[in-house]
Amino acid sequence: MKKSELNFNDVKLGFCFERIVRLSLLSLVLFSLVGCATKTANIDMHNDQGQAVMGLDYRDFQKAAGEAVSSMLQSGAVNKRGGGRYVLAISRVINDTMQRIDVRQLIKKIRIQLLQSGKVVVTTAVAGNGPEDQLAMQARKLRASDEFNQKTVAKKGQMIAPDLSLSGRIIQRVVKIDSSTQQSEYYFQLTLTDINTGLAFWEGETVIGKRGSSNSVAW
Amino acid sequence: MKLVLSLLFCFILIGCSMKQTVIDKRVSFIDEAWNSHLRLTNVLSIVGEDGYLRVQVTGFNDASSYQKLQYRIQWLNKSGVFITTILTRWVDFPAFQNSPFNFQEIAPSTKATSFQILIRENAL
Repeated sequence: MKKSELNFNDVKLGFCFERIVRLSLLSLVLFSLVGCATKTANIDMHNDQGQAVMGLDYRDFQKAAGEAVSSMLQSGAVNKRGGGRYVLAISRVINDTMQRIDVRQLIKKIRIQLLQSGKVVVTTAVAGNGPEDQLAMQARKLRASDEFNQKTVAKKGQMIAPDLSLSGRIIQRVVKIDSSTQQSEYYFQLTLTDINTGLAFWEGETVIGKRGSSNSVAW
Repeated sequence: MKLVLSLLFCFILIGCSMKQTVIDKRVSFIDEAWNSHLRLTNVLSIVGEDGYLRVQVTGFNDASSYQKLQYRIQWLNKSGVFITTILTRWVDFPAFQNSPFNFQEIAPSTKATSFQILIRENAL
C-alpha cells in the first residue's frame, strides 16, 4: 500500500470517530434534559401537600375566603332582623400587594358561600367598580323599542337596592430577616357596611405569613 | 414493701384512668400512629337561634412537644347528604405541649344538621 492511501484512511477513520463522540455527547445531554424536566401533574385540591410559595396561591385565597365567611356567619352580621335575606353589593377591594391579583377570585368564593348560606343575595346591578352585569340596565332601554313586547321588558322600580356593601384591601409587607431570608406578610382585610347607616356590621382580617429565600420574588 | 408497690400501682392506674377522653363517631383522627398523645375531651354541637349548627371540639395534647394539626369538617343535611362548601377544607390549628386544644366551626347553612370531622398532622 502506498503511504498517501494510508494517511487518507487514517483521516477518514478519525473523522468518523469524532462524529460518533459528538453524537453520543449530544444524546447524553438530551437524555439528561428530558430526565430533569419536571413532570406535569394535576393538583389534588382536597389534599395538596405541595410546597408553599412566597406569593399567594389558591390555598391562601381558600383560607382567607373560608375564614371570612365563617367569621361573618358566626358574628350574626348577616342575620336579617325578622328573617329574609340581605342584599349585598360588592364595593372596592384594593390589591395593595406587589402581586398581580384578581381580587374577584377572592370575592367570588365569599359570594358563593354567602349565597349558599341563605342569608345573603348579591346584586350584580350595582358595584363599587360599576355594575358587574351591565345588561340589567341595558335591558331597560328596550322600553323605547317597538320591536319588543313591552310586557316582557323589566318594569320600573323592580330592582332591589343593596342593604350591605363588602369592601376590603389586601396588603403585603416584606420584612428582611437576614441577607438570605425574607418574610412576606399578607393581610386580607374585609368590611361589611350597612349602607343605610354607614356603620360597619362586621370586619375581618386573615393574616398569611411566609418566610423563605430572599431570592424568591413574591410577585 | 409489697403493699407499697401495689398501692403505687393502683395510684398509677387511677391516675391514667382519670384522663378524660370521649369517643365520638363524628370526630376521627387519621393515622393512629402519631396521635397516641392526642385525645378528645368534648364534642359540643348546638343549633343557635339563627338556625345554624355550631360545633366545638376540645381535646388534649399529652405529648411534650407542640403539634401542628389540621381538621376538615364535612357537613351533612338531614338526609345524610354531604353539603358542598368552601368551608370544607383543611384548617390549621395548634396543639401546644401538655395543653388542651380546641376549635370551633359554624355550618355553612341552616340545612346542615350533622357533621364529620377528620383530624391529622399538618405535614407541610
